[in-house]
Amino acid sequence: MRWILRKAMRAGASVAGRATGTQGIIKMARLREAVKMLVPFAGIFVAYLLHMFIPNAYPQGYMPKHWATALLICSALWAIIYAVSLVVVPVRKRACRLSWLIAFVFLFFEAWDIATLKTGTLRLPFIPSPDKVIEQLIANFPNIVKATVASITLLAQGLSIGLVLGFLSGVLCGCSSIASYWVSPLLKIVGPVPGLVWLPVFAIAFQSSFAGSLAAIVLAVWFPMTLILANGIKNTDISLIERAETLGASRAFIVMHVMIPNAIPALADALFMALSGSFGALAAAELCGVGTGLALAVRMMGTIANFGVVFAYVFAMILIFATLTAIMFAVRNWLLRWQKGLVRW
Amino acid sequence: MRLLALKDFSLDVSQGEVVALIGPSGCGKSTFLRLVAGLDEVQEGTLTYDGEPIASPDPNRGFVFQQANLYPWLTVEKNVAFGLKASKVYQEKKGRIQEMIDLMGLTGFERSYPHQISGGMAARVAIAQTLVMDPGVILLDEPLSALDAFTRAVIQDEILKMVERFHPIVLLVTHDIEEAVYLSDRVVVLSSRPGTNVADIPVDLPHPRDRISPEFIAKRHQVLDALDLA
Repeated sequence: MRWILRKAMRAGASVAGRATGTQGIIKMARLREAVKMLVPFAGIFVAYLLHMFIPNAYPQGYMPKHWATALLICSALWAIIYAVSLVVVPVRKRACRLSWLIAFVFLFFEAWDIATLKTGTLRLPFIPSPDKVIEQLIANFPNIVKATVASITLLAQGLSIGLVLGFLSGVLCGCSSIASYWVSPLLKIVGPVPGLVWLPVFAIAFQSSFAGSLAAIVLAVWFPMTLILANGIKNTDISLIERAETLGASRAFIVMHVMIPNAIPALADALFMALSGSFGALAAAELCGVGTGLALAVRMMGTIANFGVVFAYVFAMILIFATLTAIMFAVRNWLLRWQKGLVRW
Repeated sequence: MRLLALKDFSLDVSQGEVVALIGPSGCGKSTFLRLVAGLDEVQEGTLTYDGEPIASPDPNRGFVFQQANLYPWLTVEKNVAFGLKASKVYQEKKGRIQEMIDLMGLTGFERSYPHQISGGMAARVAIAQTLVMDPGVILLDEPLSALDAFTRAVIQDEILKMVERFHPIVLLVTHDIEEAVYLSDRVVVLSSRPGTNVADIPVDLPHPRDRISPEFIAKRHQVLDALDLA
């Protein structure tokens, strides 16, 4: 009897689902997403209108060439994303989430455009208009690429050496009290001193400004990695270790499969600290040591008061650092995928 | 400071026997289990298994801890498989993983992470994690104490199923007299610290035991009386 009832209920539920209920809700949600995806177009359109219809005022006689084109290219790019998002669900979810933010970014740049080119509220030479920045970006493109490549090369070498060394010494210090005894004074003395201070010392010690700069970046990465990772490993719950022992695990197995996984939340924090430390050290190294790279270009262009190109270099720098940070967060999310639903992200 | 946990304590257990250790808190029951597991060292006296002295942890002596404390970064299935990989017998024995998951009623939750399952299920995973090693001795340190009465009764029956199938030695530390009488062949009562065995009560009721039969209740009274003396 009860079986029949349950079967009948299930049939009823599925009929209701097929009719209006769930289908209607899904349709509404799709519609809402589609509308939300249009928001950036609206932002770009408003920016475009403002740019086209407000007369140019400052500097006199300046004819903007690039900003309107850039807005049109951006709207074309968004149209491509829109098309992709109709098919690829993750792209759609992310694009929907970011739509208001993207619209805001264009309005922000248009506000900047109004404050500089259209009204002259923010005067040259210090704040150029977006159009001027794009013009300089195009004019100096080969130099910017060269500086960017130099920065990325140095940063990539320093980061990878520092991360490997920091991971090894962090694990070693976390697992062995002897290692901890010998490394922790070094950590306390050498670590907190900024790379900028070490730079001349390293440059002399290594007889090369490049090696010295590299060493400063490695140090800036190694220090937080070692410190945070070692603590994460030391904080492993003893019951997790004892359970592994009763299941026949060797010491090495416990390190690999209990202690290091246990330290992964700490490792994610360490990565973040290491990355921001490396950016600071990179800028310091470029300014004082190696004689190439974006930070140096920014300072040189600043001294000759070419502020359009300064902004162009700054944008290149933002692009690199933001990309690396995004990669870091992706790595962190992948490492901590088991925490989903356990902690608030 | 050194604390004398057990004194003049002796116990002989034969293969296939389920022995419950019961006594006031702090009487050294858990210490005894840790000694048998090889997690702590015996200061004075001898402790042997199959004639060999016990010196260090061994996968043949499985320990189910009071808190389930699973590895939070591993799924249920991988938590159960942990010991096989740790002891490097994964390839030969990986068939047992699904068997244990089914035996402990965890089917369908293989890919869940520990924080996604209930406390009762976590306790089952902890037991499965130990059972998969096919240990000759299973040490249960109040593994069910944190669970509600209903879940506890269900898991108690699962433990009995497991005993019937594999005939290990089971040492069960518990505060629950009913649990002791329900599961074990013998109830050993310990005095307060330093712990000594004050009574060894055989429970010769046939399985499955009826918790409200007069014989069962008489056994509970007998254990309770012995505890009062302790």
